[in-house]
Amino acid sequence: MASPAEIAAGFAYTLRGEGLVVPSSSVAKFHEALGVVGIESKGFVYWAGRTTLITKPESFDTYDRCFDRFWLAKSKMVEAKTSLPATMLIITDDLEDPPDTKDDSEYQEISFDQVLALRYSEKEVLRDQDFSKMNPEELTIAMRMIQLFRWSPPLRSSFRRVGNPKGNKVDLRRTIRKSLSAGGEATPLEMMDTTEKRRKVVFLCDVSGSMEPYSRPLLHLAHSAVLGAQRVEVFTIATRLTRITRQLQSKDPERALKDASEKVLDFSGGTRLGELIRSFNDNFAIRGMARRAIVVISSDGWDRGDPEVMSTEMQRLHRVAHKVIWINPLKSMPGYAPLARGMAAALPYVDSFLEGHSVAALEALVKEISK
Amino acid sequence: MAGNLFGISNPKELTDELEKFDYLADEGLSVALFLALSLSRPILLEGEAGVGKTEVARTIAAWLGVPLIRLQCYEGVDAQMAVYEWDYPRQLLHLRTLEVTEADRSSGLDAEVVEGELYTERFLIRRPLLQAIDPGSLTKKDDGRVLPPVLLIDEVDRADDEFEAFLLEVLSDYSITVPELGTFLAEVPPIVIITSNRTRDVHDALKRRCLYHWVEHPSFEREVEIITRRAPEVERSLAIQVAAIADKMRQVGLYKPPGIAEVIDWARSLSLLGETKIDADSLKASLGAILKYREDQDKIRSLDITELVRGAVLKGV
Repeated sequence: MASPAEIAAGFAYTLRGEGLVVPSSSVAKFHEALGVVGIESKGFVYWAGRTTLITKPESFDTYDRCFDRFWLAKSKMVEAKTSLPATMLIITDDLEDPPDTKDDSEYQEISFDQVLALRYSEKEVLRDQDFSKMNPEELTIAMRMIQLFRWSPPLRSSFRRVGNPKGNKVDLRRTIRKSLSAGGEATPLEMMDTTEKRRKVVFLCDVSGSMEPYSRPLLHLAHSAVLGAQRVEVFTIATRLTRITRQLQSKDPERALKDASEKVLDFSGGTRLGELIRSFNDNFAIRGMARRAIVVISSDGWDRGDPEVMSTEMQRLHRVAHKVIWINPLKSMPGYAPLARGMAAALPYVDSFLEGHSVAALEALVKEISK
Repeated sequence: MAGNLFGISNPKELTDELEKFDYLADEGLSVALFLALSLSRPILLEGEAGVGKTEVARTIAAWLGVPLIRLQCYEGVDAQMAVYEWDYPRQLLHLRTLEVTEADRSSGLDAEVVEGELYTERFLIRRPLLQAIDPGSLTKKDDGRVLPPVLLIDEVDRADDEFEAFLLEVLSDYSITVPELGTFLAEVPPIVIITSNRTRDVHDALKRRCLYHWVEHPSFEREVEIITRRAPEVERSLAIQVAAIADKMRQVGLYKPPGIAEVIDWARSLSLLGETKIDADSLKASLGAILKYREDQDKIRSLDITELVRGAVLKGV
């Protein structure tokens, strides 16, 4: 019979094998917990594990699966324990991937500074080119241009107060301190006022098939936003809604996108836009994430669902958000009219409607956010 | 074992104890709470609004007969609101009094002495976190046990994330330093219950400190039981219908599915209106007690109410 410590470690190993993040401090908690509830009752063990090893409801299904596999077929555990593979250390190169080294490419060996220079050179034309018409080299440069964007979402008033001579509330703490240092004499009142705080920015990026050429640059933009501004959340929408903020936190954009696309299982599926926005509203937006925030939705508006749903949900979102920005790359095409049913249903609740099809258009988006 | 401090030796006993206080915990919640008590760890409860997260803390405090110290989080909550604050108006008053009463003395006021007087516990306002670790909040039981208070940190997701880091510091060693006075250290760590509605993700570091439990809506049978316990004036047959319809409401995709508190309110309202069963009229008249969005009310009204009620009655049989 394995000791409780071995059991705890073995179970954690099974969970990790399913992709859950289980820090060793949690395993220690689980071990302690087993010591308290014992391992006689299946129910107690189940809940002890869920309480100590899992930290979010999204992981419950995986946990249940692992629990059944591990505890109900205990012999497997021994197997798992003995077949622990040697720890693999993956070292990734911090340097950016070299661009394609085709000999005939004129962008060979592009360094960071060169890209900077490029922005002001004759390659200016790249800024306005549609992402879907770029070749891979051009795309690489465009992505780097996007990474150089600077972010500063606008300020809004916060509830917190700090000292401010023009404030409207007496700061008693500082008044007393000052008075004391003046030997208890009455001194002028110190005032304080509310502070300001950056607005949250929430991205909803459509990564379905029809948006494919545009979703990558946009995720790059979102990545630079995650790194640049403090309060950013990123979701992808396709057949379902996926939160990828955490995956985008890696400093290296390629790595971040790779992590994110691993999380998003449905790159290039179909879209039920209205329903996904409802799910965003129900689970995140109305509860607080979108309140007083700037919400950026990027999609071509092809919605296979009911436009009625789209309209209701956009209205709900619009009611809590500070500003709703919709970017639709199709808008840049001459003669475009928002005829897609979803798009038409959403437009009345959109504060600004932009293109987002090129580097310049994304820059305009950043400006719009920072306004 | 620390569990003995609270007079229970397994989760089942905890369930029974809480039941005496009309709180019906399912197995998961009992195990989670039992672990929190036994291991002296904070517990983070997440779940839909209105599933009874806050009530857990109240019930535990009532069961143990210890004070409940509540810190309601909001955006901008800071150390002055959460930990301690000096009582400035009283300090000022004290200064003036000293000036007046000692003005005739030739020596005048000694600044150091005065300052020493001002920064004593007499002028310290203890906010929830400091209260929770203050020896004054410990409860001595007749049998010699010394029980800590329950500290409820409510809706932690509403506070700024910087505040969490601060919380983490307090929760990791249960000590708080007031520069003018020294360090307060909890003799017995408080029972810490943190709730979150998930408007944003709580930081991993905080989660790692805590045990975690997701509180679900109660099952139908449990909900009937909860209604009849919390609102004894409601007839059982009515409680069954209320629970069944509430259950249904949670399935049809409302913006705000009713929480337990609302369901109890609704049962009470119906009972006050003199109803013993739900029909189309009484449902319409009392809908405001359970659904707070116009869209949700419209949605339920548009359903076939007789069908809904019949379903409820059948379920009750």
